[in-house]
Amino acid sequence: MSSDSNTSDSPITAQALERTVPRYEGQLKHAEIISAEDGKYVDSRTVLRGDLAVRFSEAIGDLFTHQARALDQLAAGNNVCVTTATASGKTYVYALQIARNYLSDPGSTALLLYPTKALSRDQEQALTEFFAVLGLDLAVAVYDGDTPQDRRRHIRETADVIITNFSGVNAYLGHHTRWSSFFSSCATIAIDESHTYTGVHGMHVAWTIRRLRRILAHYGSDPQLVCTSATIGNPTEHAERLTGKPFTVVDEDGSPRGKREIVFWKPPLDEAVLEADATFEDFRNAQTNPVREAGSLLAHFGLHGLQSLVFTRSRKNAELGAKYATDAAGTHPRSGQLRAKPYHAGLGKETRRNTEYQFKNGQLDGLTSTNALELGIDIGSMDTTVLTGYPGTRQSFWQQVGRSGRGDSDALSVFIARADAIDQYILDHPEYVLKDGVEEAVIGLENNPVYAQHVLCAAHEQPLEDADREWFDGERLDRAVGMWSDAGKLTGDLSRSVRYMGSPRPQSEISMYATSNTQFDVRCPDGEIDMEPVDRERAYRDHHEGALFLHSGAQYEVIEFEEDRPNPYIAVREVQTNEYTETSSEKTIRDLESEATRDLGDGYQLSWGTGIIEIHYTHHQRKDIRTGETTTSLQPTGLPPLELNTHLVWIELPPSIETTILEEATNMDPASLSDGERMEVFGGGLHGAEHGMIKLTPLELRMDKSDLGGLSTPRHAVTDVPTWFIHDAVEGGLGFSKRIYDQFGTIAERTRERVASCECTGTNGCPACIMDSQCRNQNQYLHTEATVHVLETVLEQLG
Amino acid sequence: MYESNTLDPSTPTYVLSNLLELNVDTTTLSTTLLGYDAYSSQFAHDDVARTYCHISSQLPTGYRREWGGLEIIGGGVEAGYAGSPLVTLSCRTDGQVLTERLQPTSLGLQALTGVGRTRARQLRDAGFTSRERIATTDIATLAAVRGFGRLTAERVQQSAQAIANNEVVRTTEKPLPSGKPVYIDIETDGLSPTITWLIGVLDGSSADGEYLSFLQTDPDEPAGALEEFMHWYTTTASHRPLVAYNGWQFDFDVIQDHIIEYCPQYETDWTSIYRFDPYQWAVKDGNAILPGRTNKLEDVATALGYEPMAEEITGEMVARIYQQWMTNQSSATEPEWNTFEIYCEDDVRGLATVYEALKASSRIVSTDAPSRDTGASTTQGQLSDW
Ligand SMILES: [Zn+2]
Ligand SMILES: [Zn+2]
Repeated sequence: MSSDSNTSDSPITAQALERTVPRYEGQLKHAEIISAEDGKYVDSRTVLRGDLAVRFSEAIGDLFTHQARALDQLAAGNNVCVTTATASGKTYVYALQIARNYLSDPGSTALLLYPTKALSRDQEQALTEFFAVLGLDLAVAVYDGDTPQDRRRHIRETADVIITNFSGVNAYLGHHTRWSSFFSSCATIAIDESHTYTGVHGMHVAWTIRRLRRILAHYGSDPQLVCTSATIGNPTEHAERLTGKPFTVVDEDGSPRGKREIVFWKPPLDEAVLEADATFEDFRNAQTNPVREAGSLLAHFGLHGLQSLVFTRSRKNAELGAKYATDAAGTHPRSGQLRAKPYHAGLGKETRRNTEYQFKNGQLDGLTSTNALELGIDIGSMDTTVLTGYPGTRQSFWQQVGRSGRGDSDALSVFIARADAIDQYILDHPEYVLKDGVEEAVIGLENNPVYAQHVLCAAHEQPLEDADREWFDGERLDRAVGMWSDAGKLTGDLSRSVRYMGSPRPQSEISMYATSNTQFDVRCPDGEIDMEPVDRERAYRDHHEGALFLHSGAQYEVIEFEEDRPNPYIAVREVQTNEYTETSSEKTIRDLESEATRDLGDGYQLSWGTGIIEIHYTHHQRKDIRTGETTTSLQPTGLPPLELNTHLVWIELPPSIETTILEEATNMDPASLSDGERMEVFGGGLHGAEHGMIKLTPLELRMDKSDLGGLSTPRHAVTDVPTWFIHDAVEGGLGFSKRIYDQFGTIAERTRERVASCECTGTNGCPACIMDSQCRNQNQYLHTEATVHVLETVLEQLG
Repeated sequence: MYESNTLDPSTPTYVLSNLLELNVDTTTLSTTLLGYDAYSSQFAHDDVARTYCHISSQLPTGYRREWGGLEIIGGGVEAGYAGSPLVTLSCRTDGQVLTERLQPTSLGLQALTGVGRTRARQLRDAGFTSRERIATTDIATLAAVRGFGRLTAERVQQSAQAIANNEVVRTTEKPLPSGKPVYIDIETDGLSPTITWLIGVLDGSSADGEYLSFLQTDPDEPAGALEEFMHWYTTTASHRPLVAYNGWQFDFDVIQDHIIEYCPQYETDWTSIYRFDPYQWAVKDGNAILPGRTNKLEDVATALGYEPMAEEITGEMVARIYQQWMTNQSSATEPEWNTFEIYCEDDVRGLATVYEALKASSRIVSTDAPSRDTGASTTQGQLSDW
């Protein structure tokens, strides 16, 4: 490694990068300087009592202001959600609370819940050391699926602090009497990384927490809750929906931070090769590969003596990134040897440890890594980080950005945008990621299939009574009990006691990531795949026989689809092809029942409610990733139609709007247009609005865009007018469509901005605006001009 | 539908069909009985139909609910079981329906140790169509069957003889616990029990041991039977092995949970007891082959010559009756305690019969294959591992 870092030439600032990068073509779109911030401290003696304060300040020092405030709130008896930055010492909040409780009642216990087993093991050690430093004799133990049977009883009966996860809690509640001593003394529950509990998994966790609190109440405990969370738009609401308890949020960060710059970088697009009617694949190919761009930057930094970490979105790209970096170093004006390596979970443990070690010790100039490195693995800090594409949430964005920075010295992060609507939106609006958290974490408690499973488990754990309506959403419990009684799984009535009659251990029927118990196990007969079971809906859509899909950066092909058996499964094999699968389907929406409606006047109406979506995945074929050319003939999927009873949001427009849109979008007399042309423009406008909104919703809500589906039509069979629908993609709903209903204006406005400012030529759009790789109609009939006009008209009407 | 006018009105009439099926819709939180309208309209007289018991093979075993005035009973098997089990229904004069599952593998040649689908076919191809023929043929002929050798032939024949002669066959040398066993059987209020209200104990041999019954008739005092039993055990039987059939899947776990919950002072006493489960030891751990149509305690004990005193009932039925008593304690719902005590006594005496047969068996058949598990154990046998 050369030793000339931090000279005026060193590309550690946006300016220097712009000046020094070879063959600069104006990629830098925006640079943001984040100034250094001093830490704000509080003397621990003002918060903690005598001995504890002395030991803490001797061992650690002062408390940050946010830690002090959180501890004061806990002392006042409140539940606290701490949402400060990564590495701002959130763990100390509940660790100190546990220490305080221990000092006033040595018999008290605490339950800590982490999202991953790896994190649990790390924390077991960290907490044990922390308590030892404080001179407290607290036994901390992990208790999960990996805990040996012969250790379990000992842990339950002797540990002061038990670390586990929610799948574990779900199972352990099935024989809670064994936990009676631990539960009856439980004073604190800490839920770490609580923002990760959203979508289907969030619903399961939310009901599991209610079951847990109910059993704790049975043992006379009502523990205080502490959540630690990344910054989200709705921390109070999220914590309250997750746990069913009121919360105080502590979000003013008192931890110090160094100066850094964040650069927004747009790889050059080779527009020359694009026709006005370019297809989705054409765009895919024209884009300068963002991974190649990242490799060049890594080389540039490395040859200036700066160490970097590049985040990629797949294993394959992690491998490619390292290779591109080496290639780029060869043609870089500052010749020299570059040492770059890939890092991802597909590499053996030993290789990874070795790479971590080399990087930490400065033997490597750079790593290209999947988000495997995001999850708290210690490789020290580096000068720069490069993000190849938006990682999906602001929280991940900041986590990746936050890896750079050594002590007081400057740090730089480069965000390279991909040809994707969200990435392009962020290039246009860097303030979106730079300002405070906006994404909301959604938990759809209204999903009945998930709710009903947990009611059954609760009855198994302790007979249900009138008072249990408090835990299980009031009168809704009566309906669930009625259904399960008719089904022979429960017996009795709430006024006396409702008892469980079904097969043993209903807890084991619950999959914490799926809504129904029809889910498909994923097997890889000739290899390994570590994948959660797949919901029926997703299996039909993405995993029918012959489908290709990516998982953890590797590509797989489905070779067997077995549904007609007690435990359905799909069998897969790992493949390496340059193809992807395109599945054709037919979708109809019927039996609409609106539960909320906003009449916008003049024939515009926005609704939210339930409906049945019938999707028939009929055929599939493969296409070449580079050329988009078909490589196989159309194959039938052999699947029957799938019915989804779920939640959806829809907007109805007056039929008269068609003429207006046609005029505005084409500057032609609508009467002169053929039916086909009308469909292309007006239908394309509705279709574009539907796509665009689905694609941009993740800016507002923490979710994956495949959690949503849509349909648009100039005249829908049920509404009889031009309509577009956006629906939750799982049975029973996810809560997302309701949020879209509530925030329709904001999302429509963001979509309009993105489509209107997109640089694509022609009217078919591009992947950066309205084209969508998941479109069932192969992006047929999309019209950017019409989309903008449709959205403008709706926004005007919304006022 | 044919309706006879000559049915005896004093005993229940059963109608068996496959016409009624449940549709549980968790999205709308409602359950419907599919086929009900078409089914009920087939009966000429509603009031007569109301006196019948309507069994549908499309409904899960143990299902019993009133729909539109008709008593609907499940006579099928809940989805989720491997293979395609056969079901036998016993419709009793007291209106109770007993359901029993049989796996095809527990019937015919596949019931023999070491015989799966392939060997069963090889045996049939060679003309051995029944277990009796295999039990009585000479070993050389059997060893000549394609895919067989001398050792396999011996093993298969011994197992055929054991079944034919209703004997226990030990397949390993693993010893049984030493010490004079205490046999127990418990009755609870269901599969996720909240009370252990009857503990039947046999102290001594199947034929003339003393039967003790620890009964708690008051549902509000869930510790009663357990405390009495633990007191008896710790004062007069401590250090003797406690034996329960399928105990590791049900009895032992339930007792432990209930002791922790209701009389924790006995927890250490309980966990230090040596517990033994002959079902686990023989069937699951593969130490012996049990005779009988299934591995249910009643079947095994009967095959070994035990003659029950009372008509067979299931733990499920007993639990249901106790539940009715728990919900509404009146003279109408009060269980006939004595009947249950006799039922429990049958179980512990039957259990002793099995245990004694295991102890006495000298026949050892070596086997490398896992032992036969008919999958047709008792309701409690459905309990999965905790
Ligand atoms: Zn575009
Ligand atoms: Zn589309």
